[in-house]
Amino acid sequence: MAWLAPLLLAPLLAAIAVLALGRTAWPARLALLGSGGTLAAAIALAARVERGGAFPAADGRLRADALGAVIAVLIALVAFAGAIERDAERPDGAPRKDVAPGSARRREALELALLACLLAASFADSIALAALALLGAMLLAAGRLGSGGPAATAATARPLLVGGAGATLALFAAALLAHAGNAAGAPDTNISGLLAVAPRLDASAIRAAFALALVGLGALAGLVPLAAWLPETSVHVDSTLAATLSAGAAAAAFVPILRVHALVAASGCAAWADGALALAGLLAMLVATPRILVQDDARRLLAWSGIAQLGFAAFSLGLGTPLAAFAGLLHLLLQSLARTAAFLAGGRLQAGIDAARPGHAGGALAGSPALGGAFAGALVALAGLPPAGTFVSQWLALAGGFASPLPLARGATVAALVLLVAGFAGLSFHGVRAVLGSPRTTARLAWPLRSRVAIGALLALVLLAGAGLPAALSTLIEQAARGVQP
Amino acid sequence: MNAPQGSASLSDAAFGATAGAFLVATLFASAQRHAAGAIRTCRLQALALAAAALAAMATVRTWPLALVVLLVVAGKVVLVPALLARHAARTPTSGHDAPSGVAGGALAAAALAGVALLALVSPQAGVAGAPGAAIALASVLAGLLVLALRGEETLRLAGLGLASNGALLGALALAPHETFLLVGTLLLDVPIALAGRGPRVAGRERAADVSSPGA
Repeated sequence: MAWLAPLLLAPLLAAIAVLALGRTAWPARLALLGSGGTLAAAIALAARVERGGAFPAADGRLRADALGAVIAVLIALVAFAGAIERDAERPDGAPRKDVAPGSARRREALELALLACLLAASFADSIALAALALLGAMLLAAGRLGSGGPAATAATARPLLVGGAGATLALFAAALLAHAGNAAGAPDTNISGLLAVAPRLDASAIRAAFALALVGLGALAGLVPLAAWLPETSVHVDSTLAATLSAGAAAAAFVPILRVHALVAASGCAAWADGALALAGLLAMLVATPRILVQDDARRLLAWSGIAQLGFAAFSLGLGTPLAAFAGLLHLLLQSLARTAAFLAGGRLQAGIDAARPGHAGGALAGSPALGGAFAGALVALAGLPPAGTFVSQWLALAGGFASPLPLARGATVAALVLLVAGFAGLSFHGVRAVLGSPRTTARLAWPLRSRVAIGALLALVLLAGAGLPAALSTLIEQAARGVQP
Repeated sequence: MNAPQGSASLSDAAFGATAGAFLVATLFASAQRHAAGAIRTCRLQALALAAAALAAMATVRTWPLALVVLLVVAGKVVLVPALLARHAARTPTSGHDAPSGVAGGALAAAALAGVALLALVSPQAGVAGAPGAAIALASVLAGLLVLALRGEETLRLAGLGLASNGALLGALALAPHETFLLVGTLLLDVPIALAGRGPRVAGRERAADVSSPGA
């Protein structure tokens, strides 16, 4: 617990500090410190896991393994970039006059508590704990909504209803797993305890549990059939929360799905588990890609693109080959970073140009070459073009699919490739309209240095991953992939 | 359910009877077209759930289940229906169902009957053959269908309540010793309580619109 405690407590303590000291200090600066400390703790934990392997904590309810560590670093990075972006809203370093101090404090405290919930879900070794942590995250996200007109108030209900429905299904899955574990004589009903007796588990029970977890937690991750809430909610929140939901929360909700997948695979139903995961991913791509093609709202475009790419990562992880599993996790990581950069740069452009539609906000590059260039770079990374690392992860995943001995998997890989190309076409079309052309406003858009550093660092990470992964990160992702495909 | 071998018969019969009452209440609740009726039948379903928790406690002799019974009565029988009634009173469309609601109710009832029937006639003695689990899963599905297909906000929230009650019955039937899971399932009522916030804010906005000089 000594390694996990700082990671989980840092955002919570920072949230308390924001609420307690926010009147005298700056909430955004405290949130920056809290999320920065969380990122440092996440990187330290990842290094510890990479060297020393996985270890349990909190009486087995939490488990620090490679998968959780990779996703925790991603979530902490997204949160830290968001905190920098919010801090940069104060150009002169003073608290904003147009935002009430209480409102700013509440916003930062909710963001930090949301971060703690997502981290807890990443390390939860029990589906019940993961579902409750994600439900908490949805409640906190809903707490950030509810103002800004009737549409925004209607949007408040979406995370609550979807969070409740998703958690309901996930908790039913947890009950099924506990029943199967008790019947098989498992030492405890956590995933690790169930893995110890995996061959003796009732196959029908854990298959049903995986199906329920896939739908329930998939709803929170933004996988179909309950995915439409994410694009609609993204429109009514600020860009940092949209990035947290679309990148951080989606990845956090995906982790327990992969843990149950590993359990089902270890119990002798690997082909069934792989097929279900790949099918869910392909369905997400199939539903999201047409939305990308016809979408003219920037936020919805990015969110649907995220759903399609999460679907591709799920598809890749379900192909059942080590290369595809590695590529799927790498794709999840890099796409989430690129999407965060796109949300942050797009949000700043939107604030400057006051237009949400790419067609109307054309000329971003001419209006603000640096900010427009960053937005264009993020779109290039999202589209999977070289030299971005997403290009590498996509092609590794496709190579892994074509290397599969199963003809059905190779056929499905062709279908995924077609959907990827269609999504690329849609993203390119809308992206070109947003970036090129005459600027809508002649005023120069301000882009504070701190925001430049945050967005630039995210893009640099995605670009550098295209040139080559650091050995430690590569080892960690390999370990995580082995955990997903035991 | 996982009952001790020697002492199961009477309490298992009691659990089966309460689960049957739960099934009937779910059927009525998912067929409701008006918020008042849905809230009333949700309360009945929650009462059946509390009785099922009592029966489970008598069977497995797990005393933390007494806490679950108390929380079900306080939360699901008293608090949640009261919050739903307040929500219905605040929501302007209360008492009127959207056209799709009829189809939603029919679909929910069909799903409920189909799943329960399939599970109850299953020859397997495992999870799929356990009547409590089958009824619970059917209730979850019916609740989610009500949530997905009803047009009125209060009915949707009632659907979420039906689903969360089903999840708790499932936890009682499948894992009555898992206190963390049981108490965690009770937390599913929190979104229902908080979802009332949206229309309240909307109401304030409408009030502000009406009272503004330009309105």
